[in-house]
Amino acid sequence: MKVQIAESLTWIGEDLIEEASAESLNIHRGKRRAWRVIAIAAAIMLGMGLWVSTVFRSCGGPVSPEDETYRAEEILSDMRVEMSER
Amino acid sequence: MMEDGAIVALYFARNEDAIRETDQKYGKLCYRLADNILHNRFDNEECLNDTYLAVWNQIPPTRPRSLCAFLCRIVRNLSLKRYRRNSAKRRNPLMEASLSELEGVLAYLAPDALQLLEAKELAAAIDRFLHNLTYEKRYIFLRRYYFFDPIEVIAGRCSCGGGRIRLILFRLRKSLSKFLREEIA
Repeated sequence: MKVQIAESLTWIGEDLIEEASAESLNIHRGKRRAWRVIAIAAAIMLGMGLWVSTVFRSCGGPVSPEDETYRAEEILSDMRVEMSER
Repeated sequence: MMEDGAIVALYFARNEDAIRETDQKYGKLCYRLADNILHNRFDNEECLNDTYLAVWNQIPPTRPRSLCAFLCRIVRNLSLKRYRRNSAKRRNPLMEASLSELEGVLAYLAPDALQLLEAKELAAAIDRFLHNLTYEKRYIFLRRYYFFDPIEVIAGRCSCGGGRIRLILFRLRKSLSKFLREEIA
């Protein structure tokens, strides 16, 4: 019975036999793996960048130049008010 | 190496170089296929010689579309016949494992249904099933059940682990069984 099943497979298409007779699978697995590693590395770096910027913000670290100008203007106006009061 | 068409032309010209050229191009492939089934050097060599004789006798008049497939079919058939004749003691345990896996596919089918299916019909159904698979899955299935390669060898050919190959084969057997049940119904 076992051998009969195996024998029936002998009659599958010639194209299939020829395709499978190749020494190795004709797929560039190395290239695919390299792309996967690059994608994972990029995702990790993006995540770390976001985390670092969040930490900086919470510690009052560098802020955007617009915020800096706004704060400077605020300080100047406070000083002006103080001077006028004097 | 010589083109298949040129080798076939040598057969048609009844030139004995045809056998030498065939052996040079496909001898290794045929020997490995016989070895995977018989696992005995003497039997393998006998089978290979019988194959070359069969090819010499069949071409002409036959003009094979694919010499590689033509040779594989003959060497596989002759090896399986010899395997069947061999006593249980001389049987190859690796080949037995592969055959048992294949038998498992048909275990879910009703015995009556199985009797209705002739060998060529079963082959045609498997052919349809294989054409619906991806190239990678088809390659793995045929390396295991047509060329009877051990799992580790297939893993090497596909540059991946044996576990992955086992998993793919398990899933393929399951889906083939389902496909055959639907075909018969």
